[in-house]
Amino acid sequence: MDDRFLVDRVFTVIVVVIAIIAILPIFHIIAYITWRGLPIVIDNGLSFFTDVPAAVVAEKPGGIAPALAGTAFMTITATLIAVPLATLAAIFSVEYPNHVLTKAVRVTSRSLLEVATILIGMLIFVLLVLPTGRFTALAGSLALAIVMIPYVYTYAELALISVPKTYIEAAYALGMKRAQVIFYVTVRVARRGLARGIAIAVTKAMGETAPLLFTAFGARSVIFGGPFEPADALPLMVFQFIQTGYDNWRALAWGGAFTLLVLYLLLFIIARILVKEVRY
Amino acid sequence: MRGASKTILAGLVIAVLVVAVGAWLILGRAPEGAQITPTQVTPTQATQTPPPRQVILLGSGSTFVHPQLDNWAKEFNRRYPHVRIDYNPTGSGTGQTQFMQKVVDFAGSDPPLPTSRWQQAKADPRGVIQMPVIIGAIVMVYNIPGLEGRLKLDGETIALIYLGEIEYWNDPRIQRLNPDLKLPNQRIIAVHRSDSSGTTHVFTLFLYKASNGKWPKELVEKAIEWPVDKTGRGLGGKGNQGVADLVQRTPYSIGYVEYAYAYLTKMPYALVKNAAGRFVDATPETMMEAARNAFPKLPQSLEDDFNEAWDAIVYAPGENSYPITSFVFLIFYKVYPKEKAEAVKKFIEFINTEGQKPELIVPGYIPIPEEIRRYNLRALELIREG
Repeated sequence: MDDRFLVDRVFTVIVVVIAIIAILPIFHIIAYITWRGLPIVIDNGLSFFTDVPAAVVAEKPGGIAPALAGTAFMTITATLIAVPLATLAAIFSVEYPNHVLTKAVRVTSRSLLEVATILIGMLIFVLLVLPTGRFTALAGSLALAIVMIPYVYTYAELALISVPKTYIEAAYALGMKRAQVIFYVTVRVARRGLARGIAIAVTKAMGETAPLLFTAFGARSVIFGGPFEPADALPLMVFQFIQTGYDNWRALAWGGAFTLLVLYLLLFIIARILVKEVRY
Repeated sequence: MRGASKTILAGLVIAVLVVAVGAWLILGRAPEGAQITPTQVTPTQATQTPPPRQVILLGSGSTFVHPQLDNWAKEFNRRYPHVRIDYNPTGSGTGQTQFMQKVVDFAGSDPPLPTSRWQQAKADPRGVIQMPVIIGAIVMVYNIPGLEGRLKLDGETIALIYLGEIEYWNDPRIQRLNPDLKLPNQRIIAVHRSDSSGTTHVFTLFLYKASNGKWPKELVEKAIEWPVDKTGRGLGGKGNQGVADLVQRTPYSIGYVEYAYAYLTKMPYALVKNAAGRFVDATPETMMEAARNAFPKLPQSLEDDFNEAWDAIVYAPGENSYPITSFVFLIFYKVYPKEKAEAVKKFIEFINTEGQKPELIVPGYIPIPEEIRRYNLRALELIREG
């Protein structure tokens, strides 16, 4: 009898240890970025978020305002483009599982997930930047939207499929129309899954460098030049500044990485608070 | 419950929209609104001297020149507030490509345009103007624990190290150059760039020119397959910073980085034998001397092909020339739209006059000699509106 309890204990310990090992790298990343980035943010105070980067020879590093503004603009506009498109596509494929379009959408979405995001940037570069002859924040938004679409779609489809059939049948039995069933029952019950998909897609978009290299391009001489001017983004700035040997710019890169991390955590917390669990 | 979440959702969407539009209005439009749309200027204001129209010059290319160019851009903007210059370190190759695609206003590049590209650019109605704006030098940084005194190397031994043929620090071929040093019996780890880079291009060009035929011409490129990697004694680092970090962390290693990085990290670097057979230190004077000795090789016109001049500064003649010196080029068009032409001219003038003064040169960078500044200023007569 003791044996069974012992085996159970040992097994539990092993599982817990393995789980800790598995998530250790995440904590290592969080701790290291905080250790390097937080002091920089504190040292520079509010100006870290409101100034443009200073020259390498300046006494203080300046701030990351262009990167913040660019990331905010591009992430928001990309979300506004991607979420309606992808969610409607997901509703369509759940409602018409055997339609030709559904199969096409599924295949494209799956392959879009596999495509290196730099290729998405190149696509927008060829379609939009080359013909107009200019890098723009909006081109960056479009590239990020394409990055987001398959994520939103995949999570939305999963969430919508998992809505219990009995609910839907009950709704029909009450005499609701198809559109009513979809928007008042299916989407509503699946909202947590939908929100999770959006949150994951937004964080993915926020952290992308590659699709922005040839679209938004980067510009740090003003905070934000408008949608038709090149724009900076947090990961782009971190990527370019961490490679230099100058303390000012390396400080901005570490502080920027820390800011990005905080934005991630905030986003997930907000998504959790706003969208409460559905209890069956 | 249903009503509540609907309100929250609607509120969220509205909030996001308001924030987005508001942010754009406040951050982007407000400060420059009057300059962006001159039609809004009322007649009374227009009779007074109207503010010059906002001009944005976009540059792309060489990572190496980024800190210096950014400093110039900021100082220039302080003098001419209506001109903003944004430069992105995309790498020399990408900068050149984007220049050819006409999506940028100028490019920065460690090597000049290759002859084929230059021909194509020159044939284009927008034309092309290149100029060397700053001197770059590559130094051989090393990490030999316990070594006292400065290491001396020549092109041939460096080539043999990177070919994998010299394996130990106390190899007679290195010891012969350093009779006073006690070199350890340790394997040499040769660190190189893992990414495609102008620095590698200059370095391999030097090896080809200075190694008495040991370094093959096929291995003169921005990115190569390093023979030393096959012996297991080669290491690749990303960017100058990556190479510097690796050398600092790896005992008995050697690497090549831009002078600015050695200057910042205060790592020791070797004296290198120049074309005149002397071992010279990399200092601002010896690098300027190499540039001066390459000056006669600069082409007649800024519109010409610069490849010969670029070739000439690497392993340049002259008693005091540092051998692994090179130019960094800015590449401009000849024809610009009206306001841009004016701004580009002012910027070129600024770079070649005030910009070369010590107080505007970023520590670790080397200004070009006086005669090259004057040579560059010829661009002012070439650039025109169109």
